[in-house]
Amino acid sequence: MNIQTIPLLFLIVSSFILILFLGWRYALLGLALQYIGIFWLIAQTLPVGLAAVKLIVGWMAGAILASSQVSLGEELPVSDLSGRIFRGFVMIFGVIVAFSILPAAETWIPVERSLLTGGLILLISGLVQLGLTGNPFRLSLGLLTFLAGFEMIYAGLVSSVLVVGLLGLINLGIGLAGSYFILSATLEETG
Amino acid sequence: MSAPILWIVIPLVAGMTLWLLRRRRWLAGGIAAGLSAFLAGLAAALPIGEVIRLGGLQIELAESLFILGRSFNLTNNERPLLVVIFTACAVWFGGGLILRQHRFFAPFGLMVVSALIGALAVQPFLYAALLVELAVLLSIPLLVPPREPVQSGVQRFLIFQTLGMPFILLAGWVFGSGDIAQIDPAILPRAAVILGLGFALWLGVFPFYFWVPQLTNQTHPYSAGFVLSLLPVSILMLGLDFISQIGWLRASSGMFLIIQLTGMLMIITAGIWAAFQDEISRLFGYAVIFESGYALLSIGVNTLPGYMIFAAGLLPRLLGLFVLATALSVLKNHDQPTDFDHLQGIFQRFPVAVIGLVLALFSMSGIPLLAGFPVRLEALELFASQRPLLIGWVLLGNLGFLIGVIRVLLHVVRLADQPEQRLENWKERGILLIGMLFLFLFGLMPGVFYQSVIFILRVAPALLAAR
Repeated sequence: MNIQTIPLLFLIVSSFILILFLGWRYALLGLALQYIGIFWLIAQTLPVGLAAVKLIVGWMAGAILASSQVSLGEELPVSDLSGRIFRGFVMIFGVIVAFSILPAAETWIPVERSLLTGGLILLISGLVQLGLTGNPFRLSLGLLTFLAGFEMIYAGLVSSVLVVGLLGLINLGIGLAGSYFILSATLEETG
Repeated sequence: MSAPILWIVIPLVAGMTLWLLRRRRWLAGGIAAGLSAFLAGLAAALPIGEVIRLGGLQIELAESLFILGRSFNLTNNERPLLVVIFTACAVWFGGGLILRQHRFFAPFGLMVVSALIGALAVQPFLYAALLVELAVLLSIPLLVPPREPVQSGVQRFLIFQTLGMPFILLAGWVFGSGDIAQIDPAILPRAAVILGLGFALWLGVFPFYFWVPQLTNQTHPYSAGFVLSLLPVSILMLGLDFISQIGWLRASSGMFLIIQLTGMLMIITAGIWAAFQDEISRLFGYAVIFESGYALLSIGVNTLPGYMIFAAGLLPRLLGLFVLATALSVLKNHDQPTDFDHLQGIFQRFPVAVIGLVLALFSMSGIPLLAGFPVRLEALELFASQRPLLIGWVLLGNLGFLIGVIRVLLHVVRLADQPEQRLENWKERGILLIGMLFLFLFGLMPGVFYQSVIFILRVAPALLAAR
């Protein structure tokens, strides 16, 4: 087994965790694993410092979202077994799609295979998450996952500090926007 | 001092500062409106890159600001656009005071404008996508006031705008990665498709636009109007800038045909949906789509007159959306529902708002004497001369939209059985009357207003050479 398979496994497992389990604890775990995998793969292309920015920003965005959900004091909607089976199959199908479009994607985008594979898995995982929920917390996770997938691919193309910084800012912004979505109804108008 | 500091950094810092003053809405809104008017005035009066003498004081406004090796450039070419954007902001912020907008409106509004101007100024242009996304994120607190739960329209707005960004960045990487002549010719059409997809997601192009009527229906019309006025206009200008900078895109007749057909589809579908619409706030969303359709149609003609019509169309677009959003806001602020089942007696309760609403919609439909008429007429004539077989479809869309507006008119003039009290206050009437006056002035004296606004095309200088 190639050493680069390990972070890819991290990404696949994290995608399944994010899709199968709807609680905020599992989401945080999934997001943490996801960004470790991203850091591992991106560190092969970008300087470790820049790769670490993505790891830290991703974790921070996840923490912001989870803490907002906890502050709200409402449990996220739970999923029954049939729902999990359905989502599991959708994600299995998504992973198959990611691997099957990989050769075509390689002719379009000249980046390292592991980055492209991981990026495609996360892009599809993000889209699946976005398509299966209307909950602000889950939606923000979907957007973060989608963007993380894009960032992985883009890191193989552009290694600008400003791009990394702005993408980090956008990730944090999505975390904050998601947090605002979750808590907006509880904010005081005059406070 | 440099121009980007004046028109990008100062609004950003002011927005952040006003956030601290957000509980004093009048102060925050007044400062935002005053600052926007001041910046619009400076853009009109202050040449960039030249030495200005004020008494014994010499000022030179530099064009560039460098941040982390990238530059933000604002030149004299961008000044007309700055005048238009900051004037529009001054009007929106001023109106926001009268219409009692929530405490995040002015601070985040200024920050959104700053990010959008930054997107237009940044070089290399691929960074623009990141700044537009920042503008989208900053517009979330604008659209969702405190104490209100988030609705699906805003969520979808965020999703679609965020999905658009990676496409633009990828296309920007291809087109911005050096000499176009050295890029594999097979990649260029693919990159153009990616670029088109990105702009389609950003602009809410058919079929990615279903969030627009949802957004206008579920959020306060004034906030939605502000965002849907400034964001698509900035994105369209950014698109023109892309086309202007990339010679391969300018020479691609296929791309312009696709833009034209997309614009046509937007006009047709928005017009047809508008004809069957029973909720005025959703019709507002279709009006935005309809306007974007006409903008794309004019750009797709790819001639200088086409671009001039696009530029001239910005003023009636901004004015029409402002009057429409203001009228709907007056109704919303007085808890007046805007679906057809609850409109009886509305004209007695809100006469000026109803007249403003109908006139704004008529202006967008291209009814004579109103602001939209001259540009609609020119656009239709130009399109008919280029694609005579397709003009019927555009007219069908126009007719659909007009039917929608006439249905609104027929519902708002139903009088109540008992005499009703007028609920608008004099400030609301005043701002609506001024808006309506300009709707007529633009329609009656188009040359006076439109000849000045077409200078915004200097943002994309290569397009001025189009025949």
